[in-house]
Amino acid sequence: METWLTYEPADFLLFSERVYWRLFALENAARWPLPVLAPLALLAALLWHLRRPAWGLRALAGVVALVLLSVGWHFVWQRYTPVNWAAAYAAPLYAVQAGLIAWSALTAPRAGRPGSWRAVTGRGLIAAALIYPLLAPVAVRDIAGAEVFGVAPDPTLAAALGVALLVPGAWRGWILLGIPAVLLIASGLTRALLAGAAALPPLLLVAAAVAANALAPRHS
Amino acid sequence: MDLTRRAAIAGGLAFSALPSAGRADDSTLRRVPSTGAMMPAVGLGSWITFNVGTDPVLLDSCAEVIAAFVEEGGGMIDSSPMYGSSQNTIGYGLDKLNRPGDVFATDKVWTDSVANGPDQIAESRAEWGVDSFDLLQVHNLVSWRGHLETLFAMKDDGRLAHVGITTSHGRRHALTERIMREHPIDFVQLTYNLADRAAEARLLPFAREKGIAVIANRPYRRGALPRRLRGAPLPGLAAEIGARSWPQLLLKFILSHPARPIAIPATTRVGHVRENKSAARGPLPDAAMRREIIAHFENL
Ligand SMILES: NC(=O)c1ccc[n+]([C@@H]2O[C@H](COP(=O)([O-])OP(=O)(O)OC[C@H]3O[C@@H](n4cnc5c(N)ncnc54)[C@H](OP(=O)(O)O)[C@@H]3O)[C@@H](O)[C@H]2O)c1
Repeated sequence: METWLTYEPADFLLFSERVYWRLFALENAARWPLPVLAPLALLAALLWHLRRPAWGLRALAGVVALVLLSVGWHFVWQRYTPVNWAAAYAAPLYAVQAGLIAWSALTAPRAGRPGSWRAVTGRGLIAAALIYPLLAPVAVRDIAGAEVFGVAPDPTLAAALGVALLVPGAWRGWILLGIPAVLLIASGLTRALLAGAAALPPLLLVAAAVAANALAPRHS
Repeated sequence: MDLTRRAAIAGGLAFSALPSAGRADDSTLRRVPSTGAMMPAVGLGSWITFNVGTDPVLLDSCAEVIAAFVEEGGGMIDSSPMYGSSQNTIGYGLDKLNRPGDVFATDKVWTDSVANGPDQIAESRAEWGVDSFDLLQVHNLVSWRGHLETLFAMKDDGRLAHVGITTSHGRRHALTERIMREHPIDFVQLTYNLADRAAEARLLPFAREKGIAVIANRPYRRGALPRRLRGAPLPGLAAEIGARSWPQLLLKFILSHPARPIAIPATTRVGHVRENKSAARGPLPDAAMRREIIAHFENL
């Protein structure tokens, strides 16, 4: 106990800010043209969902489940684990979440009520996933290292939160929110240690999703 | 690497290629009391700075740091399986230099499971690309009893030159002292710098008494000291001992302790490696000057 008191939060950081932000630039370059194609696929599925909620939700779930597998393997396991061994524990969670989303999309009887706050927040989170790359220029970071849906974890997890809120039933929502919320909180804590304000986006995403699911009427 | 290892294992003079090798009173060199191995007083850490993953640009930039370190005389490079990809980065840098002889390969064993220790050490060796290490330490005293048994057995078999333990941040000094008393370790690594001087009370004098070589980690408090002291006036005596900057004075302070520690600052910059290496050259402060440096630092 006496020993633990001598640790500061920064003692748990294994890598520098420079290394961290460059991971995204390297991944964007390595996965090209996915940084363009994955967001386009998500946008198409979102537009479809606006016209045909039930089929559109399946399309959204399909796109998000696929890219979760890809991000878990390519970014988290292959690129991030070498600098952060703790990420090795996170990588399999992406596959579990992909499975949960596929299961919920296949077994959900219908789409949730499209006009409910829960569903509106869900679509908002998917839109946030699409515009997430704009955080790079806002934070005066190189656009080449922007975090893009389908390539970087946080916007991908934002879309996973969105899908969780579009699936009907708050209890399903909680099952689907758990893993992305934990992973985004971990990302927020890492960023808090590295660069302070950069912690806000992932934490705000989780707060919005949890609030929308908690405040939703039981059958929305 | 092989040259260094063989020399160290034989308890002879490692770094014999260095012009000044063998002169234990040379301020730029340190002698391991238990084996007589010699090495430069300023080594190189790798925590955070060398954890660059598979980034090709940063791998090359770390390789340049290692190249400058070797060019300036080489010596101890310290790493650990805990430091992400740092061991791999060191292996990459050494490969680029065609495996220079003047590196004292220093790593750690860091796992709760004593049974996993040998596998972890084998993985570390593969990442560094070395046949054996010059020094292996039990990192932060994790499962220290079992790992020390493993390391001493390796040393007895001629598969390891030196055995050590590490702690940092002033933690677990009582246990560290007990291990120093009860086990024939060659090295103890601990935190020692101008702001963190807890080791002066007991561990440093005890290491000297027992003939255990000392490695001072966190010489710059992970960079916080040079940042805090940037722009602050150096004490007048700095010029007398050839310290042109605070980082150099900070290192000279550490190196001048009578226990003759090896300092292992980590850096991402070639300029900083050279500055750190040059801190060992020229005179070191004597006891009165050390007191003056402390007083000056505490009054800033
Ligand atoms: N328990 C343990 O076993 C343990 C614990 C802690 C540390 N260690 C070992 O000890 C090594 C050193 O400790 P550390 O890395 O924590 O901290 P440190 O060496 O005290 O500080 C490293 C920082 O100092 C900066 N720096 C280096 N040279 C400089 C110079 N000439 N002028 C200004 N800034 C300079 C570096 O920044 P730049 O990159 O900008 O140069 C780097 O960020 C570690 O790397 C590790 O190998 C072991």
